[in-house]
Amino acid sequence: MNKKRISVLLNVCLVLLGVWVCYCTWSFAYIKGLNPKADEIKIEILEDDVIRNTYEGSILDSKGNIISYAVKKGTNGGVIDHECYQRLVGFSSAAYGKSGLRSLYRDELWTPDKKTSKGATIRLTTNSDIQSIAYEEINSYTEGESCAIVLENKTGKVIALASANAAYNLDYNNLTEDSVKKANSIEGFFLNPWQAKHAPGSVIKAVTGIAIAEKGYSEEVYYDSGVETVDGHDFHNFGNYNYENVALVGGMQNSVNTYFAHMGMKVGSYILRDVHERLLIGKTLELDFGTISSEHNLDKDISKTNIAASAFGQGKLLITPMNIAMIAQSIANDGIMLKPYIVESIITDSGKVLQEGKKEAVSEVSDKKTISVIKNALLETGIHYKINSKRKIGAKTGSAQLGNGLNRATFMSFNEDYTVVICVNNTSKRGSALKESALRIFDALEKIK
Amino acid sequence: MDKIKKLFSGFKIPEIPLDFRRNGLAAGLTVHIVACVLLSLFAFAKGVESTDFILPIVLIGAFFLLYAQCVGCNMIMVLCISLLMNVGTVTLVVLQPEKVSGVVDELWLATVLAIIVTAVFSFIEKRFKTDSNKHAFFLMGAIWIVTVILTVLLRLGDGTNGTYAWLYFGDHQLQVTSLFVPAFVLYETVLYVSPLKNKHIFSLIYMFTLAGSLFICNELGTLIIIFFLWIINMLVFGELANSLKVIGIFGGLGGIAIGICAIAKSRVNHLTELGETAGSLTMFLSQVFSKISKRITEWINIKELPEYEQSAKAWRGIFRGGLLGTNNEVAIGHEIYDYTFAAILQRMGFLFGLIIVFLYVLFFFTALKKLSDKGYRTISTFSNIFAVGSLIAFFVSSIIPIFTNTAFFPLIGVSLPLISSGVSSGLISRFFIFVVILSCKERLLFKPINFSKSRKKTNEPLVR
Repeated sequence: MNKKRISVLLNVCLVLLGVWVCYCTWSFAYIKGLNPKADEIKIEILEDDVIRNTYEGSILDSKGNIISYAVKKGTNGGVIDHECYQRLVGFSSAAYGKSGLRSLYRDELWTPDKKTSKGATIRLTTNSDIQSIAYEEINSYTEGESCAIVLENKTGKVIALASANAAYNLDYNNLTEDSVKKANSIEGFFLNPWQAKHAPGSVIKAVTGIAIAEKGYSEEVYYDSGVETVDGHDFHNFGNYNYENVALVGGMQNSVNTYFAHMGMKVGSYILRDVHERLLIGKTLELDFGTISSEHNLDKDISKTNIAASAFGQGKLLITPMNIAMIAQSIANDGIMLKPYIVESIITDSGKVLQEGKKEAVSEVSDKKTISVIKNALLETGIHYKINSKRKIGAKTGSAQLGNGLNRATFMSFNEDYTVVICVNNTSKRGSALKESALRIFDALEKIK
Repeated sequence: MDKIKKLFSGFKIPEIPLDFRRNGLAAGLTVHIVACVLLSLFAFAKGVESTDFILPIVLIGAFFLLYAQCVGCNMIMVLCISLLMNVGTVTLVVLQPEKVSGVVDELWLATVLAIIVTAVFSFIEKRFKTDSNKHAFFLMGAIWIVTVILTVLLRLGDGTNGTYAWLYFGDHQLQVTSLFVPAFVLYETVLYVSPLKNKHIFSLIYMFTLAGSLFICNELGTLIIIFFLWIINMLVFGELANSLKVIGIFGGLGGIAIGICAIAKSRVNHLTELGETAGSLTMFLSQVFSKISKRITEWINIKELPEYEQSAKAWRGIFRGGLLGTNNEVAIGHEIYDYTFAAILQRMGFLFGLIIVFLYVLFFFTALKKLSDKGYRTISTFSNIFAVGSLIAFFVSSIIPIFTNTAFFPLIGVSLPLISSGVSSGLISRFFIFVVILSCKERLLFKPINFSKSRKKTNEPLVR
């Protein structure tokens, strides 16, 4: 044996062990702050451990009915009546990720109570009967993704928030690798339809209507020849109809593009932009069930053609169904826009209140007089649509063409107490085809009162 | 102050009654029992309720100490081994208290088998003539043939946990491929004490035979240990450069041959058989590379591995343990076998892990120093070289699981000598320890031990 070689071997061993100790100290977060990435991993692992030993908190509706209840530690509670609630409640899984309320309230649902090892209970503002009907209605449309929103006008409470996707019905209670893979292969599957930004179509005429009423032009009669030319660009009505003498109510009832293009020009981009901003269009809004953002192009240097197009819903305006619901709610609520909320309360098993939902005004859209003008115009439009209910319903339809022969159909409606908005994307139907669904939801709302 | 001085005036600190050098058994037993008590307290602190494990720990340790003392082993080495064995038993008790009796049975079986294997080795050593080429050829050939026959038989049997390496003894099972490590050490020893020339070629032949066997049996953990062992042996004995030259030449020629065969197969119809042979060889090599690359990819992306993978569990477990360990109930799984060190780091903490590493290193350095000292070459050069080989094998077998369990090295679970449960691991580690101890004698075998404090000091040399 060569002693020199043995001593080299020993030294190599010692150096290797020294490197190993340094490696372990660096990689396994033995010294906090030394390696921030390792610190993050450690926190993540320890959180997972807490979850393993915790019952997920329950989720209840406004009446205390169970929506989700966990019977096993470390797993998501089964969602009862899960089809209508599953996209709202979502899932939280180490393997497949997180979505819905389970993603937003992961900490609350999984922070265990010391005695019961159970997460906090979330009570929602939803009514399960309405949620169920809303889901059944949108699920009857066999094209594209769809959503139904029901808000309480005086409080901003979300009474129902149902989403569906006709392309694939993923069972959130029994996620598998294959089912999640299939859902992921569908573009935007996990994006909530009520959060998706799209061109609004004619429902935006309600916004232009506010600007028209605010300027006092609501009674002004416009002669519609079927064409409105702006800077050499011709705007036509749907079906190339001409309605001759048109004021705001008539324009709203027949959704006269030429009238709104003309009046939009007359009102001007400054007022239009101001009204849009008061309706929080172009802003990002954090809600307790997700974030919505929208955009408009009513800048100072906007061309006349774009003003005219934006006024009846063909500009570069992109808004979400939740924005549309908030616009309808503010009109129904005398111009006070409330922040929609879905979490009534979050309470731990030991009774500690972690969060409470409350009414919050986020904007005063316009004065009562102006709002009453537009409200009346929409109520008349509801009558024109022949929506029969115990109470008067204000309504406006929208059908934005997507360029592939399909539409994004929207039905915006409200009565004294509730706002109902239904959107179906990638459909051959037009907005007016959704009115029966909205009516059935209103009828159900009458029953719960 | 005076009062206090008066009070203690008649008090004398008693002399330590034991001579640690001459009465090592008593000293060793004292240390062993103290260690048992401390570790038992530690186990209780970690939430173990049963006391069933204390007696087996004391008995196994005492048995070992008796043996070590009889042959006259160095006290530091005995202490290291005793502590490692105690740590091993306590760790297993903490990790899987419900399996205490099974674990103890396995350890006894492993110890008995290790004694038998050591006896067989002693017999071989006595019969072997170091100056005879015939003896060397016979012994090396026998080892080679046994290896090949075992590989074929094992591959024909059933696989367990993905490997084809098991022999059953009632409820217990022995991982036969583990025996390839001492077989390799014996082969290398025979090779180096014999007058044979071109030793590196003989070494390469057996190394590649073992590599093929272990790959066929899907036993990559042992393969890694043998590979490192071979490199260290080549380094220590100064044959690495020659070996690498041979590997380079044969590897290059083999590659060219496979390439030519593959081209020939596609161009000439009547060379089909040759082409198929090349194809099979290429397929085998591609399997080898794909397995290695898979391990390395998993190692690099360990964070992304699903948690049910053993290596990912071990890695996460180490994070959970921190410096002082945790009673977290998320088990690592198979922790008493291949991921013992990760399990220890999870349950006992990194500081405890460092103590274990220190004990291995201390044992290795002390033993290597003794074995390098001419005064300790008590039996023969053959015995001495075999002991050094065994020591290196023991150390490599200790370091590899420590490195792989902590993802310092591409992932594979390997049992930790003296600590991991299981007959195979216990047998091999004890066999190595017995061989090393036998070669580090400090006094005659079975020399009477005098416990008397008044024993006269003599000039009798301790080393034979």
